[in-house]
Amino acid sequence: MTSLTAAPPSDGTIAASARDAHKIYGSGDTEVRALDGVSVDFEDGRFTAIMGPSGSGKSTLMHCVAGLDDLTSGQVFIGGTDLTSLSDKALTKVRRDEVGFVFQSFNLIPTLSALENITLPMDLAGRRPDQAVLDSVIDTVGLRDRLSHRPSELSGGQQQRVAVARALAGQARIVFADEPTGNLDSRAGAEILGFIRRAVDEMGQTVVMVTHDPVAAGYADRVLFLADGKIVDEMADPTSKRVIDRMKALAG
Amino acid sequence: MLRLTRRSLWEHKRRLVSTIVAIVLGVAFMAGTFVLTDTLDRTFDDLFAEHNEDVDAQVQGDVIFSDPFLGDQRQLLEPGLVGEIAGVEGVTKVAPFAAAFGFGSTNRILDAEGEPIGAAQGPPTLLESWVEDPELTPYVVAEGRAPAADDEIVLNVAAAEDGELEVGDDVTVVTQLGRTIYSLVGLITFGTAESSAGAVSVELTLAEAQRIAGTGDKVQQIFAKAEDGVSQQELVDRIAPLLPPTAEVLTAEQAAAQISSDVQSGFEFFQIALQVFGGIALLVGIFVISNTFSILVAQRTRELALLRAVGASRGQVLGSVLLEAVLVGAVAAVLGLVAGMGLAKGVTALLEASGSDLPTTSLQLRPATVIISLVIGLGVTLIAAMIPAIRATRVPPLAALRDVAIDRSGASRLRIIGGVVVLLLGALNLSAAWTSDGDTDAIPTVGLGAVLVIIAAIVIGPVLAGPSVRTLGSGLPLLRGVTGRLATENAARSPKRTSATSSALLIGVALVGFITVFAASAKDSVTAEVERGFKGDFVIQSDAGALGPPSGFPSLVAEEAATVEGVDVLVGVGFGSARIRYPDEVEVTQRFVSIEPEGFEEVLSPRMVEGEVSKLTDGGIIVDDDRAEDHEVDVGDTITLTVVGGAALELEVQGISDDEQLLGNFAITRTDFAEAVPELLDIQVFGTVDDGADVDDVMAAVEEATAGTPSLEVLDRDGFIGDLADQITSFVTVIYALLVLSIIIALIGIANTLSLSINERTRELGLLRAVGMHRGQMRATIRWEAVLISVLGTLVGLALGLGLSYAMVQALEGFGLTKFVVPLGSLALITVFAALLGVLASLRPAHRASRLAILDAIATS
Repeated sequence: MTSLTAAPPSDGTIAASARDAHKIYGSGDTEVRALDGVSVDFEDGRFTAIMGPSGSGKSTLMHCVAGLDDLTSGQVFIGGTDLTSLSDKALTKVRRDEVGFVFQSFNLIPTLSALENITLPMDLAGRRPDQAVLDSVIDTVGLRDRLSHRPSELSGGQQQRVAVARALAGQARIVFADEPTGNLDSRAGAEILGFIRRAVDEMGQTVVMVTHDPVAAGYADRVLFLADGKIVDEMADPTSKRVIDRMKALAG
Repeated sequence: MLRLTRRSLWEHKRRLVSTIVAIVLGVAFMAGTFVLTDTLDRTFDDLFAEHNEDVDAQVQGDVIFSDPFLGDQRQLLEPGLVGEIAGVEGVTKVAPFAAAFGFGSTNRILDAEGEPIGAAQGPPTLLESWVEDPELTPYVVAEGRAPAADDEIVLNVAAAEDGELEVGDDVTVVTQLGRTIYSLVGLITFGTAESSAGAVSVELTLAEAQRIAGTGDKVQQIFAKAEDGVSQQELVDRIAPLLPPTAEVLTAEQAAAQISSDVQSGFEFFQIALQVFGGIALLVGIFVISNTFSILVAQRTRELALLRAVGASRGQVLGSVLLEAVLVGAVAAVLGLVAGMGLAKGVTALLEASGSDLPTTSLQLRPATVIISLVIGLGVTLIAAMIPAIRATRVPPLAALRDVAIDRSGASRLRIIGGVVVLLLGALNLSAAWTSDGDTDAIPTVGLGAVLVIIAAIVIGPVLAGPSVRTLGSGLPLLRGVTGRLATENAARSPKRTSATSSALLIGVALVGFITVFAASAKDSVTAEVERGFKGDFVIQSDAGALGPPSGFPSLVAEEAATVEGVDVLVGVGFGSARIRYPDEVEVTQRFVSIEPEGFEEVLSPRMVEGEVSKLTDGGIIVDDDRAEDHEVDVGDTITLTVVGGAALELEVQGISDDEQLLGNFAITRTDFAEAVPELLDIQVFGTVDDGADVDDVMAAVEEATAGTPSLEVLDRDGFIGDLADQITSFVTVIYALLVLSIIIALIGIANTLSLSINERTRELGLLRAVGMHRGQMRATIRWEAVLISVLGTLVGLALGLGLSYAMVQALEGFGLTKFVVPLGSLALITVFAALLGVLASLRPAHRASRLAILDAIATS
């Protein structure tokens, strides 16, 4: 990754990217470099996993690229748009129209039904969802008979499926998932990862997932390893076993 | 535990500031009223003590009756008593005294332009007999000399300056006897002040004062001074045996205290009104505070559970929440007390600015005021915090380990049963409105019913709040999309909270709605009554005193108007108070009217049950049917009226009327009235014009002919009806102004609840922002939630107000309230206004919500 230059990403094939991204919290003795000069591209239609120990900066990287947090210096792009120069309103619009999110927990608005949660970003945009896409997403995650339920009436796995459906239904340019299986048992977790994988394979969805679970990382097309705010390694076509071995090597 | 409480207070300081404001406003109103009362008391005490500084004993007649507006009416003293008192051992000086009291159109002194000196409402004009001896009068001659002849007067310096009059000028005084011109021979000061508390002091010879006051050769008071070595009490004891049974003698101190309390009782209505509205504000405050504490406790469930888990007892948890309430209440009470003093200072400054020349007394803060303020402030806060505090003790230790559940309670069976029981009790009391037979007795029962119904609405509120908000907000998603949907769901998600928040508004709005509907009904009823009862073309009346007593004017006005060409019939109606004895020996103080039976029915059409107005003769009286029924009065019975001055009239009942608008409770002839009382005054003169004459021309001529009497107005039919409607409007405006306080507190409550709810929903709001809700949409969501809460409170409040005024109109049907009108326009306006207030209340919380850092919100776990 260090071979990449600071030129803007070429349009069309790169969904999102970061250029020399720095994020520093505090100052002086308490200074923490959460991101220390990260440059990375996320290509269209690929599923990237970001791994690293706690405090490595993996969540910060995702938040900054997704337009949820701002950088201390450097640039991030979604499509061809430089997020660092956008107003709050424009940034919100990018998140709404270009980005999908799946968080670890508390993904849904408790007062809205499952269907309303799925279509929330489009409702906020005042846009009608593409019914064919919506139907296929709902069928993919198997929520057809749960659409009118409130989140409190759904299991944890079902709630995460609603969140995945929300991220996919808007045909976002890129979907960010932050430990999407962190609160689930292994069977429900495998289901969720299976849905994400299918979305990448069948709909060409771009996905970036932060995780500390090598099994989850095994579903991705490539894995980035972060430590101390820097990208320290990368692996293509990972399997969970190879990921575990690489992490052991990095820790050693 | 103490440290924890302190920490918790600091943590929630912003919330608590708004809580404090609610208490501060209520306490300020209460304390302000007390301070103002005490300060005015002190002012008047000082003033009257000074007034009677050198008088040792004061003799006066016993009270015949007390009129709420005109004060005590007393027996007169025989002139011979003056000499007898002068002969008492130890008396060095004696002075007789007579005075008349003026405001509105009578007993006023005119300036060079013919306008009355002094305000129409406010400090009165005093026409007094001059007390020669400087030791027995508070007045000092500052210029010229004292009045020596009956056509000479003396004025206080401030009044002379006000009227641009100088010693040597001719001055016109309008009394009930007509207009008299006097020569101004001197100016006086009240001690060193240019006026006595802003009053216009007119000094006359004793004979002239007696003539104007209508006391004949009798006097109203006798002042005496003791020689050195004789105490006031000794003097009083020596004078007392000389007095007839209808008179009393007081020491100077007692007399000063009595006058001062007479004057102060004039402020009583004002004080009670202020305290009632302060009480309403505090009641509304209870809801706001209780809600705040409930939410704070709910948000601290985990913390409280943790405390319980590590070994805190229930008592300690209860203590920590109540301690918080005590601290908040104490701070608020102290601030309220200070604010109340500021309020009192403001009002006294206003009084000074309005020209009542009160001697400056520093604000009086009695220990009782401090104690009452602290007790009320603390008490209200503690009462409000009690239920949340008890709920806090019920938090099980295990709750520390669970996710905090949203409060879904509200629809408990107990609540529904309780609410329905209270509602039925209220309805039972309200039904008195329909069963009453035109009696005021029903009003307290109906009032109690009203209070019970409002309580029932508040008790049942949480059960109905959810469905009501969803119904109200059902159109919002169409209008505002997902923002409207979220707003509706947010308002409905915690019914108890929404209900408590809107209840605070409900109380104020129910009162506003009640007054609005009641006033509209009263206006229509009055209009209908006047249109029915008044057949004439014009009315002459005093333009002073919309809220005070009707001001009379001399009968000279009617005489002058009668000379105008084009005037056909002219009927004067007078008005007085008397001690009335029914045939069943019951005695009451009541108003009565005096009429001219001849011609009365040409201008007015009174409703009679028995007898005819035109057949009323001298020595006769017409009695209202409700009074007649209560006291079993029949035609032919005898009723005794004891009027001002002490004369008693034995009158034969010649008719029974059903028309309090035109004939009052009692009607007697003008001739009887004129003979009995010293002051014959008209309050209205009704007239018709000749066929073919132009009403406007005639009215202009009447106005010109009566121009010598101040503060008169001549109104045509429309003007007369409009004037009555205006009086109701100005009364309603005053009540609106006072209710604003409770509405402001309710508004603070809405803002408070929203802020606390937003704190609770931090993660949810962060999620919304993450998936693409922009700041404007976030603000709109909060704004619509506030609008829904305030509109809910308003609609329920208006519905209650409407129902209650319907009951009240029914209860008062016998008093001429024959119409029930629903002013839809006004009610719609109130609803829109409430929605706007909701928007106002949401401004700060919405701004804060839109500024939440997204990451902080979603990272909280």
